[in-house]
Amino acid sequence: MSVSSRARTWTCTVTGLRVHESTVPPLLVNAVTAIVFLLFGGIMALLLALTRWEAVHLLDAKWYFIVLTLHAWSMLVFWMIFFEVAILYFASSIVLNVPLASTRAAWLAYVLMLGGALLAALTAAFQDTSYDQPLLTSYAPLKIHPLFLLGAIIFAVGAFVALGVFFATVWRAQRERTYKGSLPLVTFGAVVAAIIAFESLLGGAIAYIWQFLATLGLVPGIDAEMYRVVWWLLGHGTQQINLAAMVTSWYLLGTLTVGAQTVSEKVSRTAFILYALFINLGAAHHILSDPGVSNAWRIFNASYSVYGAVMASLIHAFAIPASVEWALRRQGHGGLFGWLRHAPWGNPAFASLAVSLPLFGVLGGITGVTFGTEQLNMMVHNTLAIPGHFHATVVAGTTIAFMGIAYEVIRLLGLRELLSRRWATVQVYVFGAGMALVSLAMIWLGYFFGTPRRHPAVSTLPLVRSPALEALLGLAGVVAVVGGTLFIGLAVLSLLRGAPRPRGPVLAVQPQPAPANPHPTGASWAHATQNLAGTLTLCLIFLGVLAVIYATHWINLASLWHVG
Amino acid sequence: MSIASPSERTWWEQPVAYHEKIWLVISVVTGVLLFFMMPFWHLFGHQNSSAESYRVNPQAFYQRVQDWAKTQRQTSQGLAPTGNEVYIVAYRFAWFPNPLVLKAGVEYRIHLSSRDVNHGFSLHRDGTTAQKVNFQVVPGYDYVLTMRFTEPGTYHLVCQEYCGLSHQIMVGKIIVEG
Amino acid sequence: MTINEGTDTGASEQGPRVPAMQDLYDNIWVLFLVSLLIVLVSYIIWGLIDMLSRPVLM
Repeated sequence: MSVSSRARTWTCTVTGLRVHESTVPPLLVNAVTAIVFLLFGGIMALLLALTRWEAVHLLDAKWYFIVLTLHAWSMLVFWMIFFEVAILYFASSIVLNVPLASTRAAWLAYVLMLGGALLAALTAAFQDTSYDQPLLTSYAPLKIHPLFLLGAIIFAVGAFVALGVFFATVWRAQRERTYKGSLPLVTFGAVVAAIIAFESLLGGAIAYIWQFLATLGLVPGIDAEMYRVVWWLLGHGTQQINLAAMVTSWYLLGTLTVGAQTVSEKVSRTAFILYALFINLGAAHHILSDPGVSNAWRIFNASYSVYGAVMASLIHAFAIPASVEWALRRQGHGGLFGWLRHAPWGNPAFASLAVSLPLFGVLGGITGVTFGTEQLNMMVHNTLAIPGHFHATVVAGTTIAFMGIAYEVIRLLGLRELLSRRWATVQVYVFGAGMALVSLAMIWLGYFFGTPRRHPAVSTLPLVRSPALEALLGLAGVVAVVGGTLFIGLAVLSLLRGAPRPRGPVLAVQPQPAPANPHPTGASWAHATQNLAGTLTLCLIFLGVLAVIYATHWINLASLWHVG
Repeated sequence: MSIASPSERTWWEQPVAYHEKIWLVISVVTGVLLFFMMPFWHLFGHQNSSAESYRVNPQAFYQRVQDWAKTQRQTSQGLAPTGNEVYIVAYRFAWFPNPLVLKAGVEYRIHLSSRDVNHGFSLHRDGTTAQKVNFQVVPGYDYVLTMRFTEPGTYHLVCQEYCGLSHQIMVGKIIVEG
Repeated sequence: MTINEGTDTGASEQGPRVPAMQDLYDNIWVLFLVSLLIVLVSYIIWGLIDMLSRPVLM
């Protein structure tokens, strides 16, 4: 067994990792499928942007709701989860130097996920108009087509199987001792993402199976508020998978681009553990302005347990730039921000890290804290500010990080050079700029103008409008779609026609065991003297911005009439 | 490196850098402060989420609102409740009663529910931009919001939860008199 | 594929004893279980109790 599996591995010339050949096809197929859904979702995005821009108003109500459903599922579910499965296979099989526990199960997972996705999407697109569009949330008791629900269930089952392959692979690596000591940080982060995924899919399975059986008349209908509470474990939970996978990706991108290493394993792992323990409680953000639950439940859960998971995000927000700062200072670049100026800005993978992290934190993170505060939520619940928040987190944040990962996967696993490193970098900045403006426009429209989300014709409402902001939303959306198209073109063409990259040799000997701790007393003082002043300064500036915006929200709330 | 096991076998004992320690303290303090703002506002602020709700049969609630409306005063501007209990029901695709005439300064108990699917109670003060509140209207739950308007004027009631193809026509009005 | 190195945590020629907290941090199965329990109790069960205890009016 070990002789033949050693013969079917090759060595990455960049990382030194040993790659089992059997892992690469399922990994690449999941990644490419994800990108196909990104493409489709992006076309839907263009149609939506040109509709919310009322001066253009491309789609009528019927098509608006269909396209919204397709856009939401393609982006928030299919693009994200297919790509995350690829990341899980990388973090388990490739980082831990072990074949996938079962490639057959991996292919089964893929077929179920793809089949379920297509069934759901085609149903939404072609169902009879007597059925309601599910949008993303399919709230009971809307009349949702049973085939749509079945598609969602099949997709979820496939995702569960993929999770099973991941956990079994990690378990196998632990049993076979293919690594020494603790799991590498990237794998640890992937485990956390997988735990969050398991919980999210569990919530979704309960909600969708019940709703499916109720649609067939086999069980009584589910209480509408219970459906919301349980469904949002899937809804918000899937986005927390994205958060954990994105943070994991950031550590990986730091390593791949500047050889970064976390300044403290203990601190980074503590933050990941806080994510695993508490982050899915934040699904309560969607229930802040709902009947049925107590305020104590709201306050405790929406705060991720006394803001435990927010502390975790603040920790990662420091630790990742700090790891980059430490790496660049070790290369000899000093000064408060001199290290930043000497960073490889022309490397598309570094650009994706450098663009997605601040956009996520400033636009997405701040609005997440404010909008997810119990009382502040009533100012923005179901307004366009909410999509503004999650376009900052999922698109400007996670999607851009995944673009960087995709470029590295193409080079290091697909073994193809990028057709144009320069255009790949340009693409990251164009897409980032477009999405930053899209988010800002949505947040501004929702927070200051109260423009509703999920609305096909806000120009018919008796509300104060901002045609200028709507135009900004539309135009920025077009810019983002251009950036996204560039990405897809570069990714696909590089994979098909990029110059081949060499594989490293198969190692004939076992990899050397990790060296024993050179400081048996445990004190490694070199670490304690790391200069991280640049990162600390940036984080303090960020905190200042958060404090000002947070205070402004409360001041605005106080000027409202009395509600309670 | 993040793709390798930590080279320090006992990484737990590795001391944390000074700058990171500062940030850790700041993060914890930030989290605790953010948390306590919420109960604080419940004690001292005038805008909070309501936890008062009751389970109701959607059709029965709809009937209750109809019966209640018949006992209230009809004016040329709309329905003017005589007491401080107000009932509003949402259904595809309208609000009832609509319009409503209320008085500023009075603490009303507004009972919200839906006859069919989720709707959104989104109340915007006419002519302003940031003056608005948004709550979920859920069938099967009588959601009681205590509301005291501080300024007279017209308040537009927009449904902001997708409720079907004609979701966009669901607009109502609450007129608040001085 | 097997690297024979004896026990991971005992003090041996491999180096010093791994602290108990580090071992706990490394135990991803305990993490999985505890995380699942927390979300089930704090989010689902507590939420369901809240909703089910709303008085029935009509």
